[in-house]
Amino acid sequence: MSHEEAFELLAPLALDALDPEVRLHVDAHVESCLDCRRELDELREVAAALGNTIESPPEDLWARIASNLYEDPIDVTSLPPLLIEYPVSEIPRGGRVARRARIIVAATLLAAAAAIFALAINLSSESGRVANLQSELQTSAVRQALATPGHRLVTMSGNNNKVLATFVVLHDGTGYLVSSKLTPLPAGEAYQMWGIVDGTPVSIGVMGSQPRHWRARRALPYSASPWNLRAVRSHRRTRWWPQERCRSAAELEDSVTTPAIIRGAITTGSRPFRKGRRLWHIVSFTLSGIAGGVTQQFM
Amino acid sequence: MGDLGEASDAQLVMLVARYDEVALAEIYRRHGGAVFGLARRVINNQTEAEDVTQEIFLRLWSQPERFDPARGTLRSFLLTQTHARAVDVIRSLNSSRRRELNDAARTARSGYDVHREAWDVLVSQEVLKALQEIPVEERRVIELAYFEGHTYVQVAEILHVPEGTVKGRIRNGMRRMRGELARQGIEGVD
Repeated sequence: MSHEEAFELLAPLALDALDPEVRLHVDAHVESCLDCRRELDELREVAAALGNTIESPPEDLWARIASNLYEDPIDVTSLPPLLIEYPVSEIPRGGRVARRARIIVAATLLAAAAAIFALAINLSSESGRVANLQSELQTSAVRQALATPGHRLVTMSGNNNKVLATFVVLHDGTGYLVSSKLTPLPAGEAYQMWGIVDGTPVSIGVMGSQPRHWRARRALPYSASPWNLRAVRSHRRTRWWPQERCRSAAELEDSVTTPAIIRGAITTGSRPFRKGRRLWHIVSFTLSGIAGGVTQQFM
Repeated sequence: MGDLGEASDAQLVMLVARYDEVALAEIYRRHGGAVFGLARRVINNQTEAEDVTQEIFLRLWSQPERFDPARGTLRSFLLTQTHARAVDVIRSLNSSRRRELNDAARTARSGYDVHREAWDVLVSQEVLKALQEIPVEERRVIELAYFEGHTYVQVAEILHVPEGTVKGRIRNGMRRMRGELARQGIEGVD
């Protein structure tokens, strides 16, 4: 879409009066065009002025909102997922694989039948679509992500290299938690995911006290140099905003009460191999043990 | 920060990012009525409007960094999100249900001039004044799009005028309003 075409549609966009497909095109242009963004911001202020009415909300509405603040906003009906690992030695030949690489096969436990389905990325079609698990996965966003060609799986491991969480990352950097075996935390604490980019910690989002469904708040690197990811426990309801305060990885380590719970890294490159009649996708990644001791109490 | 009542909206959002519930409650106190009012105005349904309001505040709670004070006021940020969500809701309703809601809303406001009804609930005299400067055909397309959730293509069908004309009227109407509001010294809602 040209700048002129997009610019013409900014006023309808500010009124949410575009068809979804057209809107996608305009949004994409606005994202990269400072002039359009400024214009859109101003038009949105005008639209907001139109909508600036005041009514008294029902008295109990705030209480309902407050009661939901610490609940997982997404579907929580699914059972905790299960992760299965295949050791490297079982990988049939098919190119060099990093020594510590493993195939991670994530599986979900079916609610009723407790049947286990292996999640594999079947590369027999060029798109690399996930073959088996679509109907079993509970959230459509994750399902869509796993069905998106070129997605990557990232695993994070804790003690004994045990995989505790698996994420899917798309080309555009969107990342979702696919499955997690992280121990539920007491009320008032939450897992927070950090990326260490060039030595600087970047908060990728808080996953809640019992992570099940989660979307990364920031774009994750898809093909750039790997980011080290780590999840830490952070206390809720504190006057603490690590994103503001930590300027280096060391400072992050110093400012949290617990060591990294899980660590992992997104690495580039993945190799298919053949097993049976299927071509499987090997996701290689680096593993590291849990980080060293508890550091100092933060403010 | 001793008294949250004195804090700016941007400061409150910073506190929300630190999981300060009281700060969120203060934001709700300031803007909850506007969010709910707009949602109800667009959806014409109390329960759905409550759900949208809840969703908007939970979203602010979980993703406070999406608010960028450099790009506008918190009120307009919340209203922008509210409107988009409310429009999603009504577009997801099937057409007969939507008609039902619209009819119910019309009955409730019977006696109002249809062309004026959308503006009557506006609280800001300045906005009302700005609107009076806009030609009625421009107001009409903006009203159909903004308050009834139609796309501009649908508005063209409803009014039996070419799409390009509707697009132009929306654009001109919005620009005229912006000019008027600016003339009155209003740069954003808060």
